[in-house]
Amino acid sequence: MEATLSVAIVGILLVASTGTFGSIARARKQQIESRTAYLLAQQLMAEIMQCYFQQQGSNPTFGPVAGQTRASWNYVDGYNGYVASPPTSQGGVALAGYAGWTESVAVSFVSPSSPGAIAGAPTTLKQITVTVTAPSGKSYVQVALRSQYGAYELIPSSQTNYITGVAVSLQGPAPGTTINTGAHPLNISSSQ
Amino acid sequence: MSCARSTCSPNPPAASRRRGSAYILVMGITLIVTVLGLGALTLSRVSGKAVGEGNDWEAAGDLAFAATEHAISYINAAAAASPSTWRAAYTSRQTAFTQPMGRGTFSWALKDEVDGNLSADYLRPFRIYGIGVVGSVTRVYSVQVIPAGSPLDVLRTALHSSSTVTLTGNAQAVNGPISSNSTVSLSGTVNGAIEALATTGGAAGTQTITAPAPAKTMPSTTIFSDLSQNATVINYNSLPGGGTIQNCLLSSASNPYGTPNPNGIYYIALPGNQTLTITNCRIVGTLLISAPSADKVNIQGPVEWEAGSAGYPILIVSGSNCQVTIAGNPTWLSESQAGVNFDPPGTPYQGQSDNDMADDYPPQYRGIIHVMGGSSSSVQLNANAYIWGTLIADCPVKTTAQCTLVQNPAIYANPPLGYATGNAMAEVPGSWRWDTLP
Repeated sequence: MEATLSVAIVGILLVASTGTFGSIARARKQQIESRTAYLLAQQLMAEIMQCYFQQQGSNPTFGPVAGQTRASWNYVDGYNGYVASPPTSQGGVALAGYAGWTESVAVSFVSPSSPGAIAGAPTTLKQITVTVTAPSGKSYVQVALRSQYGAYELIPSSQTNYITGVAVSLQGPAPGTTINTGAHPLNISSSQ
Repeated sequence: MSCARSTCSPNPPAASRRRGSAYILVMGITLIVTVLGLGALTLSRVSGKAVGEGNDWEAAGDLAFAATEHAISYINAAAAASPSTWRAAYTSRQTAFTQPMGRGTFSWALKDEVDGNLSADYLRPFRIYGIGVVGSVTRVYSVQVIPAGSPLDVLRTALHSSSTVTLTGNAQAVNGPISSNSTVSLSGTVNGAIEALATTGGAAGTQTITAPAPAKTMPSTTIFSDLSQNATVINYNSLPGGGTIQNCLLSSASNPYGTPNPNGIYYIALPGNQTLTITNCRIVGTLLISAPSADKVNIQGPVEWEAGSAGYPILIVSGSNCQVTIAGNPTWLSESQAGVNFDPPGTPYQGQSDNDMADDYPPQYRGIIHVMGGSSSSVQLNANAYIWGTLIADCPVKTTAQCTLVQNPAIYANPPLGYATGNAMAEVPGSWRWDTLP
């Protein structure tokens, strides 16, 4: 009788603990996935945000110019429709450790008076949506706005070189634990 | 008497001694596993919260930046629609717009940093506060905004004073007029256009006189305090020679008196009844000089002076009862004589830099010189002064000898921040801050 009860208690304990630790493991995996996804989205978002509002020149058109690659897009809407799987660096090199991941970009005009709604005609404001999809199929979305009068539109009166965007790649201690993200400095920190 | 072994023995059998011990063991293990499980659960929750807040922090930053981008588009549209009244719709530091976006919400507010009254002066800069909120995370970016539309008419001139202008000696005005909202007194030799309320006297040379000419709007005096927020202080008392800047290169990459300012903006506060002398040096940047009481600012060539970046003026003097004298020099600024390399890597001259001390530079003041000292102050242009830009003063200006004033059409075409008016509003480079709520 005593042995039977003990076995039952231990059995219940094993079932409960297995379920608990399984949930913890799944949650941890989910946490890693979401963090990885948002950091990756941030890298692409930072790259886009430091671009010009539109193509430079007298007749800018919306969207990427035919024949150009990501490395030559210096205007926000050049990224519209961009999809990469696996994700790549700006230079087109596949990022290590991101097999099965996908990143995509949508750019659209929005109205300053109603920035939540897509505008049918050109305005002074663009919405950038970066979507990162994990191998699990779950998508992570980052949204931002860029203005025609924004931070990266002012042209210095004298020629100068300065940093407008930084892509960051951090290698963890274990193989395959690289994290990629990015930032876009707003102030001119120093002449380069 | 017989006695059963099981009931009469003073010591119970071993089986009876073990009864219940299995429960204790199992319960002990259960307790340990439960504690471990709860600990793991707590750790997982803490970790999850940290990861979630990290994700929210990134998203809130994007939304805070998006808020400022939306604000600059929104207020430009408002300013275009109602150029003279649009600011009345806003209260300083109050949320002006809120919008759900992505996983959170952004909002923005405007703040007048002078007196809290956004409508008091449409030439006055203000600050946009962009706020992004995702979950429990709130992030704020702020940026200064300034009118940057049409250039002020004073930039069309080579020299403009809201007070009197007295021309003696030999004054040459090229590209733009010598202008006054009051009277221009002519004597000696003057060549160029004159625009003034009235003129007196006469001068040799050729003048095209427009009098009375409409008064020209002066730039907002807040530009001094606005720029000083991003300036690096040079302690007047630390300057050698009793307040002398000489034999040096001052730029965004070089500051012999302290840390270089990335925008090349430096602030010097004179203590009162003191003299600041600037001579035999090259400056690529903006000097903000506070001259509160009977101070003197003597700029004596050879000096090669130009704006550092983003179209700032080269010199703003703000004070009362101050005297500003500007002179040139027929001799060029010489690296070998000064013992200074004036064009090292980091501060090129016309795109060229080197590591020697074999170059000479024409003594010129290239940019906007702005003196705001009130009627008690004065500006005097002495021999060989060569300004390629515009001299703006709200006090009497006098030329005493040969001086050349050349208006720069490029400055008029791309007016520096603070020297434009009208509908368009622009963000001030270098004024971005990771901020707190307004």
